[in-house]
Formats: sequence, structure tokens, C-alpha cells
Amino acid sequence: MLSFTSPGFLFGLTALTVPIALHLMNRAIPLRIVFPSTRFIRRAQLPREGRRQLRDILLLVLRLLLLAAAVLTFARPVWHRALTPPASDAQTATVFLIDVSASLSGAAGTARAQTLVSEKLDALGGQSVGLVLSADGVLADVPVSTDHDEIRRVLSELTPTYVAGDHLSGLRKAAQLLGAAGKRTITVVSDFQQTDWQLARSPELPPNIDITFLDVSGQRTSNAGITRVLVAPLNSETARVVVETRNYGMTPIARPLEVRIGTHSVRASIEVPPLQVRRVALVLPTSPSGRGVASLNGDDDYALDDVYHFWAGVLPPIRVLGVIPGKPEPRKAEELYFFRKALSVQDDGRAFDYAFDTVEAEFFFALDLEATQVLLLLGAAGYFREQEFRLVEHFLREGGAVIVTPGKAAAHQFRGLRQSGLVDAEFVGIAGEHSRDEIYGLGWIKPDSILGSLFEAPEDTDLFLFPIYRYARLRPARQDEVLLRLLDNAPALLESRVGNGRLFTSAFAFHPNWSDLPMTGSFLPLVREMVDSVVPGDYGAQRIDCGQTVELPHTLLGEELPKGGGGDGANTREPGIAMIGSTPHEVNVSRRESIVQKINVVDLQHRLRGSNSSDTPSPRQTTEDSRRINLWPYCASLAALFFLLEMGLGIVFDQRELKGRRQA
Amino acid sequence: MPEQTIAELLAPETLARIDSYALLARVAVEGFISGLHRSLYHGFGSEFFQYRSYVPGDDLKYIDWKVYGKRDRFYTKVFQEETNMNCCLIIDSSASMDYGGKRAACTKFRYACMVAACLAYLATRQGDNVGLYAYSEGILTAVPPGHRTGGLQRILTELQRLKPQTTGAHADALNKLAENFRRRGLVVWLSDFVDIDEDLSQLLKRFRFAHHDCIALQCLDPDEIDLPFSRTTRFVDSETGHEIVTAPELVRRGYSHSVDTWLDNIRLGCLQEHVDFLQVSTTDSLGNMLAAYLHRREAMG
Repeated sequence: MLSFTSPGFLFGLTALTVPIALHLMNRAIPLRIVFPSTRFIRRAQLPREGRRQLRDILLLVLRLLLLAAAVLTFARPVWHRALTPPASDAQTATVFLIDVSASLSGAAGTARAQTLVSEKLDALGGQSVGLVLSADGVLADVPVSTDHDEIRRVLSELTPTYVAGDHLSGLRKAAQLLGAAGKRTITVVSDFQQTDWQLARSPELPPNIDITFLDVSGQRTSNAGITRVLVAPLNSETARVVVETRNYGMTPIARPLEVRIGTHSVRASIEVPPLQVRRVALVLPTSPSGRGVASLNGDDDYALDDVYHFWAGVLPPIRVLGVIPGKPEPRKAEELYFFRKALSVQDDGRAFDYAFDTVEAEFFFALDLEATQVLLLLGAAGYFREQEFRLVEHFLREGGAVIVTPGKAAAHQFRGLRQSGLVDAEFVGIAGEHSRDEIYGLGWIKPDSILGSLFEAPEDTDLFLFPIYRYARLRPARQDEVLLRLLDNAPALLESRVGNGRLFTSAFAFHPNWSDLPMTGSFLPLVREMVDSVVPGDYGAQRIDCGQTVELPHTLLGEELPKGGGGDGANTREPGIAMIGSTPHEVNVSRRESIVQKINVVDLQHRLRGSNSSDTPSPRQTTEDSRRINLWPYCASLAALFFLLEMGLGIVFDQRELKGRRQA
Repeated sequence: MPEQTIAELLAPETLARIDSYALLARVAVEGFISGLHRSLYHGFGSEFFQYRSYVPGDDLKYIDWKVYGKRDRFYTKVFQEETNMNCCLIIDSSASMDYGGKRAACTKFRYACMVAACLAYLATRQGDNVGLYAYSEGILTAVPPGHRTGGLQRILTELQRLKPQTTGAHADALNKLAENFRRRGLVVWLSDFVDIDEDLSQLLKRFRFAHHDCIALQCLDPDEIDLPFSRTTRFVDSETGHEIVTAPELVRRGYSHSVDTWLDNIRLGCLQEHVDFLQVSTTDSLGNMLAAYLHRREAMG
């Protein structure tokens, strides 16, 4: 079928009358004269006249074609290939795409889907029908067939999953099942929850696929769910559990809440106004298993969000790697000992421990620091080469914490840190290196820093009381943050932010040769605060939604993770606690499934039909384009060809006529 | 009357505007005669008509010496003709004569009729018997020469009535007329001689055999001489209806050559038969024709 992009230019075809009119006006119409006698008038010129007429007609036709081709070029004709002829009933195929995401479990959505699809199947009779179960991917499919038994069987066993919906692959699978011939229809059976469909992209559906919708959503008049559970250990035996509950309905709810950790459980009653959030804090004894479940009891239109699995056990330790110079400075092992001792002290209020590793500086380059959170460079940086500094920089950018203390090779250490761009402060020498006659001490702490909040009243502590025998004189740059200063105002502790990590550079070593800080009461909180600065607030159990992909640490790559129901192992398809490596993962039903809001079906249909206004053409548009053939380049070529022909013939004819006249 | 005025008066474009052949002939002939410096016309009878100033070249025998004695100026006597010589005017009324180009004031037939009217008037004025014959496929009209009163008027009336038509059967008409012209006289044949160049000598020979003096007056339109058309033209033969489409500018040279050859043949045929041949164009003054007639008439004595 032919159409024109700019049909207005077709009015230009009226210009065809111009050459015709000129031809008619200028053509050699013989003047009729009744002459006395024609006996002396020769007819010798008649053939030439015939040729002239032929020439004129030929040139006229060429000019008309030239004009027509030019006009058509501007009108931009497009040829649409004929669509596939309408299919007969035998060629009609339908695929039901049934949404089995978690939201379908609410308000009898699954039962309604079973009923509606069964009715549709009855109505379709002997037509070919296929089935795709879709949640966050294709869960099951039944090929298109006139035998509906398999579909009915799958329908009877239809159960909603715990995962959130993402139906792009389901739509593709449905289109694939439909094939390429005949009248094809995809019937989407869903509750059209906005959170599932609002991000649905237009899949690469073949042309001529009709998309229809079956809405199986019901009224969720009463729905409340647990949105989050926070666990804070009170001591080694008890923990405080905060349960956050949200009322999604328009009526207030009063529901019994039960929180269970191991074999211990606590009950409470909770009242939540419409569309409001309430938090309840409970104290429970901890369990060695660490698994906890919070559940709202009572009737609810959507029960999957009434249960929340959380981790109340011991968290994986913070891995600390101490790097010491080794043989050049054997006494640095004592400094490492002080650190290890400080970090190994049990703290009842802390949910995690520290795992300590030690390595000598010369082997540092061969280490994999991925599982390490904290680096202690106890004089070891003085023996680093360029590649070791690059390792430290990479470690910092990934979010680690590095504590650097000087050693014998302090000059090399600070120069290396400076050249690596980790520290901008300039090393100017060691104070008290040759004599212990002069004693130094801390005299200032930055109030709005991590240490400032820890030592809000430093005069009440021994932070300013311990002697410092020697220290590295540093001339800090403007961007260096000085946390501690000596009495002479020289910087004692610098903090540098590199990427997501923090670098603490101390001007003195935490060793009795340098200072008595390790023997003070301030040492332990000082070290812990620096180490804990890289520990995220939600460190511990990871919260993921059912079906969400977990990125495995490299230590587990290549290993087949155990899977099992009830939240054991790495199975994330169902709610529970999944242990991946040493990290517990709280797997719960995606709370986005609790939101009742539906998407506008008309908008969704419009989007799925590929008429969205994205920059890249939709697949349907691409298919449409493939069926369109732009003819204007051909018209332009023809116009050019006719123009050249007209020019050439005109020249040839003129030369012939001139020659004929000369001969005459 | 000034000479220029007479020339204008004899111009065909002037005379063609006069519908009445009687008036036309009178104006033309009277004007022509009064403008003659040398008298070619003295009358051939014995009855005195008038005096006229002597013009060098006039025969001295017509000088009235008595008048010279009284007035000391020469006057010649003009006599009224008393002859009864027949003058037959034959007009070709074929369709080919009905052509008038843009440059001509009238068609060839109209021109021939004007000439015939003038000659009839002139001949009647000097006492000759004038007859008129017109033909195309056959004899269309015949006014035999005679002395009856109103003969001239009849001729002029016939000229007014004549229309050119159909093809010219020259041989049939001329042969038939030659058989009927018993009395010796002057035959003036006005035609374009189209398609009769080969038969011309034979036709003229018959008149000459009967001792007629002949004047062949070929009347042509200027277009027939030079074929002036510029654009492609469909020429329709006026007599046969034959059509030819041609580009005149391309065939003009050949056409002119053919026409010249044709005219030469006609002129040569007339010379061979001792026939005065006069070719006139419809743009020419009628004076030439009248002078030619008078010369011939004078030669006949």
C-alpha cells in the first residue's frame, strides 16, 4: 500500500500541466492555407516533421516524468508491505501470561486467576493456547497446543511465589510460544500492581501480536505488614528487637505481634492507624542459631508481609590485618600486640568481633585484601614499594580503614604516602629522636570528629596525660584533617578520606618507645573508634528480597551453595535466613508487593505496544519500519535520470536539426 | 490630375475598395488616359472628338496647323473611333483564382475582374465591341461582343456576379471559345495559368490560327512567387483539395526554382505563338496592364 509522508507536495503535480500547455502552445500546428496550386511544393520535409513531433513528444514525456519524480520525491512516498492475511480460527493462538508474583496471594488473586483463565479456556474451545507463569522470570510454560489439559493441570496447581514481579522475560517467552504465523494474542493475567509493572519495558514482541489484559486484583481493605526489624544486642544473652509495622489499609488495625528468636518468643499487641507506621521494641534472649521471626497474627488480605525473618545471632567478625616490618623492626610486634589486645576485649554491647591476621611487610604485596576491613601499618609502610602503596590506595578506595604509625623508616613512609597521594602532610623530621629528656603530650582534640564525639570531655580522661617521647614532625596540608594535636600544636593524628575509606596517620607509634598511650585507658576506645569507623551501621546480616540475586564473595566463587527450604542455605526464593559464607542474609518477601496501587492498564497496554517515547525505537516500531519502504530515494534517482536524459536528448536533437537545416 | 494621384488611383488597393465595376473602370481608365504624356490613343475613326496639347512623340499628321497659326501652340486632334473590332475578355474563374495573400489587396480573381472591367470600359470608350467569357469547369458566362447599348453594363454586371469555383478546364473552355470566335479580334486571356503550362501553346495556337491577336495576362499573387510562409503549413490545393504539410522555409528555394521554370515555360510558349504575355501581380498597378492593351491595340492599327 502506498502512502505519502508529505502528501501536500502532491499538489505540485499540477505543475505537470505547464509543460503540456507549453507543448500544446508551441507545437507545430500546421497553418492551413488553401493555396492555388501545390504542384511545386515539395513534400520532402514531411519525414523530418514526423521526427520533430516524435522528438517533441519524447522530450515532453521526459519532462513530465522528471516533474512527477521530483514532486514524488518531496512527497516522500512510502510503500507498506501487505500485512499478513487474517488468520483462520485454526491459526489463532493465545498464550496466557499469568502473574504469580507475591502480590497474587492477596485477596484471593490466585483463585480468581484460575477461574478467569478456565473460563477463557472454555470460550476459546479448540483454539491453540499456551501458558506462561511469570514472576521475576519465567517459572513454567506450556507450549501452544489445542490440547488444554496440561494448561488446566498447571492452573490447578497454581500457587503464588514469594518474589516480586518482573515480567519482561515472561512476555518474551509468551511471544516465542506464539510463533510467527496466524492471529496471535497474549492475555496477561495479573493484578497489575504498579510496583511490578511500572518499570516494565516494552519487550521485543513480533508484529501483529495482540495484547489483552485480565485483571484479577481484589480489594485489599485490610492489610498490615512488618516492614523492618532491627536487632541491637544488649549483652551476650539478650537483644533488643525493634519491629516496624505499617498499615497499608484505610482502617486502623489492632493485631497481636509475636517475635521469636530460637525457642524464645515474646508477644505484644500493636495498633496502627491507617497508612501509618508504628515501631515496637522488645527484649528477647538471644539464641545460638541467631534466627528470628516476627509475625503479625490475625486476619489479613495479604498475609505474606505479616512475617519477617531477621538475624539475631553473632555477626561475622571485622577482619583486621596487621602489617609489621618484621626483621628490620622486631619490636613492632609489640605494638601489634597492643592493637590485638585492644580489639580482642569483649564488649557486651557490640554485635561483632574482630578477626586478627598478621603479615610482614615483604609479603604484603601477595595478599588478597578483599575480606579485610582494617589495615594496621605499624611502621611497615616505611618498607613499602610503589606497588604496595597502590594496594593500600585501592584498599582505601574500596572502603577500608588504614591506621599508620611511624617506625624507623618514617621518612620513607611519609614520603611514600605523600607521593601516593594518600597523605598531603609533609614530613619534616622526628622530634625527640636522640634524647628522652623532653616529654611531649597531647593537648587538643578536634571536637566535631569521630574522636571528638568519643572524648567529649578529654580532660576527664587520660588522653592528655600520657607522655610522648618522640614523634614525627608533620606539616599538614590544608586538606588534612587533624584529629589530635600535641601541646606544641604539632599534629599528632591525621585523618584522610580516600575513596570510601579512611586513613589515620599517627605521628607517633603506639609503642612504649614512642609513647605510653597503649598503657592508658584511652587507648582502647581510641583504637576501636578508628577501626569501627569503616564498619557500616547495618553491618551484619544483609537484607534481601526473595528471589534477589546475591553477589557472592570471591571466596565462595565456584562453590555450589547448599539450597534448602525454610530459609536454610543460599536459597533466596523463599523467606528465611540464608547463610552465604559467614554472612547471614535476611530473605523476606519484597515489601513492594504490599503496595496496593495499580497501574493504569491503558498506559501499560500503550507501552507494551511499543508506542512509548523513548529515544531508541521500540521493537514494534522497528518492525513497523522494516515493513516500510521509503521510495523517495528511488524517485530522486529517477528524477536525476530523467533530467540527464532530457538534457542529452535535447542536445542530440538540436544538433541533428541544425545539421539538417544546414543540409537543406 | 497629378501623376502620383493617378498612380494611387490605379493601385489595386485603391480600386479594390470600389464595389461598382462601372465606377471602378471609369475612374481607372479616365485617370489613366488623362495622365498619358504621349498619346497612345487617337481614335481610329474620322469623327473629330477633341483637341489635346501636343506631346513630343505624337504623330505630326494629327497636328492642327490652323490652330497653330492662331495660337502659336501645337495641338493634336483626337478622333472618335469608328471601328467595330471585337475585344474578347476571357476570365479564368477556377478556384485557384480565388486566392489573396496578406500582401495583396484582393484575390487574383477580383484583380482579374478589375482588369477586365477597365479593359471593357476602355475598349467601349474607343468604339470596340467588347465581349466577356468566364469559365471554370465549363463556360460560366458569355457576353458576346456587339454594338448593342448596354453591352458594357452587362459585362460589368456579369463581372459582379461571377464567383471562382471548382477546377479550371482550360482546354475545353478555350477550345470551345476558339471555335465560336469567327471574327478576327483581340483576345485577352486573364488567368493564373496554373496547371496549363504544357497545353498553353496548343490553346494559343488555335486563336492565332484564327488570326486573333492575343494577350495572355497571367495574374499571380505574390505568395505564389516567393512562398513567404515561415511556420509549418498545411497547403490545400484549391482545385484538387490535395494537402501537403511542409516547412516553407525548408522548401522555399526549391519552390522558387520550380516556379521560375514554370513561368519561363509559359513566357516561352507565348513568345513562340507571338502572343503578348504580361505577368502581373495582384499588388501591381492596373496602369501597366492598360498600357499593354493600348500598345497592342495601336499595333493592330
